[in-house]
Amino acid sequence: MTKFFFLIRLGLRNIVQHRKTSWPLILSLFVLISLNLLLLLGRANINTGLDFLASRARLEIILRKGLSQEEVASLIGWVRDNRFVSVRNITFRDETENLNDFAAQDETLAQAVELLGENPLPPTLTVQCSLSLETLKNIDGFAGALEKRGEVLAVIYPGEWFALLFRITRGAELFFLFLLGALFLVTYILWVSIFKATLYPLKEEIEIMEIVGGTKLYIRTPFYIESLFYALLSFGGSLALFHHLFSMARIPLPGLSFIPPEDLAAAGGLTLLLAILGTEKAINRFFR
Amino acid sequence: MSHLYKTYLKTWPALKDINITVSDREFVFLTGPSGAGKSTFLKLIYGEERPTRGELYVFGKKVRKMSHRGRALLRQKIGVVFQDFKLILTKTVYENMALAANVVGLSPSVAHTRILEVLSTLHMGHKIKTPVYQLSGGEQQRAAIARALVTSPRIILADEPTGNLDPSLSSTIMDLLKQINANGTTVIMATHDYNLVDRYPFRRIELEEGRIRD
Repeated sequence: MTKFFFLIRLGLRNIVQHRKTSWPLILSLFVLISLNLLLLLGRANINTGLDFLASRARLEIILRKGLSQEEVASLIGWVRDNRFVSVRNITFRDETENLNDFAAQDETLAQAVELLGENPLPPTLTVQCSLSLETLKNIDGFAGALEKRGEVLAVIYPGEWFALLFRITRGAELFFLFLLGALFLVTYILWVSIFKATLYPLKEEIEIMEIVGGTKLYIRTPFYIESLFYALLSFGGSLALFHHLFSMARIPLPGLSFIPPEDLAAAGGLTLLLAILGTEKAINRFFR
Repeated sequence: MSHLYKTYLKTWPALKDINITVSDREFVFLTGPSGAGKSTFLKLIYGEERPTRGELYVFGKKVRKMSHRGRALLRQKIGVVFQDFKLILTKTVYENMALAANVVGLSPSVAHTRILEVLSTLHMGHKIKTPVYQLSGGEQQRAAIARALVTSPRIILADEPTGNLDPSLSSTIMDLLKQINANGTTVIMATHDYNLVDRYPFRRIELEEGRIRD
């Protein structure tokens, strides 16, 4: 413990001593972390963007004629609680409503309807889904499960449109992930280069720590503390700025969602890990 | 050292077929002209360099295949004094010594007592809080010796410790090293100052072009 507290003190003293040389590192990290957070924010809002197209995310379910109220209620209950997609609203239309709607479209149609002996139209259920990646992925499964139910004659929905949207969204998400990975890699490379430059004036200090018998871990520890401080400072600063900008953006765009806590925790953890690995890589150069 | 060779860049032999044993509590002068291999000899002992061929035992342990950690632990038992002092200039004398004391695991209170004791022996007590860059050459060398002594090492390796000092200061440093040796620490001192060596009755190992001269 004696060694550990000594090294913490040494690390904190290093922070004070290197305050003039460390700002390029903090600034570049701040920019890179902000870009990463921007991507994460974009990713968090894929579903918000998708929901703008929700009006087309509709399934028309043609029901068997002569269903009892209990059967319809049971089907509606199943649709509401299904495990495939998130349902926004369900509209039931019986045979008469459908016939009236049909007749209301055109005068000729109205006259034709009057000539009909019995109503040929079935009752229907219109299911409006919330559009999300989950919905896009499971829509076919949902339609298939519906078709297997005895109350259902057919399910009509824009399957190809859903598939295309799913491919585009999935591609966009993969692109986000690729960009995130690339940015983190750039952050790592930049960290190593800048930290190496920051450490260069301390080359002799590292050499002296080796001469007096410091192990690699002992010598690295104050620098780990220093770089963790820089990483936290950059990440915290970037997050605070982002939160502020987000609060401002929410006034015109109330549907925006902030980066989920698990993504933030992952980004924070990754930043700290990069700081540790980058420092280790940078300092290894000075060991003999 | 047994049939020890050290070659730099595969073609430049710095030490050739060195066979030597230094006993516990001995004071040994390592002499020879510049480039004879004196510094390499010391670097091999404290593990900064590794032998190319042959065996080197320090405290009975083979140095050649030691890991970085093994060499670090070895250095904790060795005090090294350099011609260019190798002190952290921006830190005080006390901080330089405290670093060495902490590396070997001395508690702050024990380290504090030991630092005061060593500085008092070297007549440096009044410079305890002075940053190293404010010290004169002689004071810096005494601070370097103080740092080497704070861990109570079994060996002191001194690489031209008087090389940058005027003759009167050289004598002071020599008296200090002699006193350290008298207290039971082995001292190996590299120097090319033959006048200085002639004034002391200690064993002398003469190196010339990497070989020990008979």
